[in-house]
Amino acid sequence: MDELDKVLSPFLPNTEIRFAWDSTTLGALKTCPRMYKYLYIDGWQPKGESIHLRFGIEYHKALEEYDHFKLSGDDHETALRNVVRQLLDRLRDWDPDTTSRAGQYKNPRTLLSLVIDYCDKFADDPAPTIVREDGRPATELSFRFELDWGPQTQPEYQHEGHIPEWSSGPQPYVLCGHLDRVVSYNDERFVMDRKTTTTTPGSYYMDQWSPNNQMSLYTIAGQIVMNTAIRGVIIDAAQVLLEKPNNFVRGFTYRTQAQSAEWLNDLKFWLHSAENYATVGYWPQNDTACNNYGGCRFRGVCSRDPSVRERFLEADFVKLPPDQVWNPLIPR
Amino acid sequence: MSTTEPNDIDLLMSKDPLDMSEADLDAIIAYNRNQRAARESGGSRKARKDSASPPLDLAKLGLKITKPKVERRM
Repeated sequence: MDELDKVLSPFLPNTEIRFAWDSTTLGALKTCPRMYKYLYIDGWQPKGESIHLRFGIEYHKALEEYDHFKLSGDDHETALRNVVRQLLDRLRDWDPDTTSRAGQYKNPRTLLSLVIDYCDKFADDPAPTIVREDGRPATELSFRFELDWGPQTQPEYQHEGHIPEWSSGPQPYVLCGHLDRVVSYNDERFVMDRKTTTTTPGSYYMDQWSPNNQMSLYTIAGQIVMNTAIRGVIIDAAQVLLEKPNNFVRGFTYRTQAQSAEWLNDLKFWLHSAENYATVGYWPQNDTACNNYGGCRFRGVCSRDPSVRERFLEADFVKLPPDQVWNPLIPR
Repeated sequence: MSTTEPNDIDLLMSKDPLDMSEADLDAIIAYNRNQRAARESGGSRKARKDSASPPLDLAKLGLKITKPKVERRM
């Protein structure tokens, strides 16, 4: 590894103490420290590409491109043609198993249909993208900001010159991530986050976003990135349907300043716990989370005797090389 | 409305996307819009109803409708 790679590591050198967190890693830690370790320290990933992940990535990419084509002056039909061409080009290598439930709902055909339906529905979006002070649209905003505290264990690297270039002292915690869009709606500003789902995005679906780790972080991040008050997040949900028209629902989740302050205060305790787990080298199971959302991917591993878990991990998962493990410091 | 049939759309979508003409892309978009319009008008559900199989002849199957058993509590 060269020096640049060292700088981009989200961990303090030679430790499992993470200083760079995004909503994915933080959410995993809060859900179950053991799951967090398997996924984001050890790099275990389920075998086979996740249909849901690929579908989500391509959906976001296509709508991002639509935004850019429109903002660069294309009319709706021209922008849509360009989006369809590029989407089909990217999907050439994607051949999900359409006999599985996931593949039945999420495949190139349903994705194409969803993208066209979304663009047609929101061709004249009532929640337009904000234009930033420098004239660029507030879409696809990668953010990274330091907190005013850091891991309490600050190893000797501070004296070896390996301090990341954006820091001038002991390594503080860094929060990072990616906002789809910042929009204006009824004279207020919101982060807009796109979601795809196969379940009905009704009140039960929308209730899950408050309290919610990701949306609290995005509200805070939106305020920092845009340097303005952000009321919360608009959940831009797209439900994939096979026999009925695709369903698009937008829901609001609000955060007050006090709620944001509370989230940041809680964060100190979470990150202190993570540092403690990393220091002692033990990541406890949260055995109340194993059955959430249809069951944790690692339930089949954690349910085994500790002496045989490694064998089950090797059978059902792929261990990514360290440079391919999810790293929130690498911008999209 | 486009009259592109499913087989035509399969053929169209098998083309290299980078070689597709504007008309090809318009046909794909129109096909999806037609599909959406059909779903909005309940086309798929109506088709299923139209092609529904005849009602089951329970007697022929040796079955008969009975009233649920009444449970009495003393």
